[in-house]
Amino acid sequence: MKGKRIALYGLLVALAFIFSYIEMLIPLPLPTGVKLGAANIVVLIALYLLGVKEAFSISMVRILLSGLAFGINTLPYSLAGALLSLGVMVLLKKSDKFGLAGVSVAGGVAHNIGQTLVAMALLGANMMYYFPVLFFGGLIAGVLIGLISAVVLKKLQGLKL
Amino acid sequence: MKKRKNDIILIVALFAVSLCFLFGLFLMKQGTKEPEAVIRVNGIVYGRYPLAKDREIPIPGNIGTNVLTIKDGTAYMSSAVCPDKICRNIHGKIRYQGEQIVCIPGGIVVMIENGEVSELDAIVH
Repeated sequence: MKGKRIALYGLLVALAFIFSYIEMLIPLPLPTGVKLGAANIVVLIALYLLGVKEAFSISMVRILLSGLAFGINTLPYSLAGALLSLGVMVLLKKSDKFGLAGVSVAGGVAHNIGQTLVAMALLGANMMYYFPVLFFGGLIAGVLIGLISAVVLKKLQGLKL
Repeated sequence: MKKRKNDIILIVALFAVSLCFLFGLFLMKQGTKEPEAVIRVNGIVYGRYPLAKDREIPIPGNIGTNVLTIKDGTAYMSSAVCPDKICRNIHGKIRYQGEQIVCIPGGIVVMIENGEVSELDAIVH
């Protein structure tokens, strides 16, 4: 049973990692920093199927891997975004008042707020002009991620993990 | 079902917030990007007038009232009370970023801000 779990986590980390990689390869015609964050599909599904600890571990390992593979410069941003996002998602899920879409949207927005805060702290940059774009981007990405995750979760239901 | 309702409320609320942000951003960009003629009298800002709107602005200077005319995106001193009329005749029409009309006797300086950058490096009169 333990071996199966380890294999499953490895699989999910690899999937999240590949999602980040593909997103890096295909730049969207959007302002920098606005992207879907497809790796969050994996984290969200892990949160629902496996639990908080598992989702947290997968998210952290994925970020460390991407940081080491694609550039360590963006690591603080990813880390802050992921932590805040996961924190908010866990709280909303625990409150049991919101569905997948709501949790995902709040996570998306929280992710970009976290990144903005780090940018302000590290760069001392005035993010006033950029923040609205990121906020809106996080909202749209959250809706899409929520919809995709709902479909995937439905397919996975009844699967013994 | 209740969850779905909450989801929709949350999404709509966040959407409204982001619309407010975007609208605020739009307003700020509007406010700062417009080319305008800034009039100073004795170094103190007398007024800012967008170049987009044609108008005549009387400026009470130290020795009388000059008139600045804004027309077709340019600004020029259409009437000057000073004896030499340098501001009217020499400085001519200004429209590009940083161009100035100066009236020394009146203590009046008109300067273009947020304007287009001229393709010429400098103009020698």
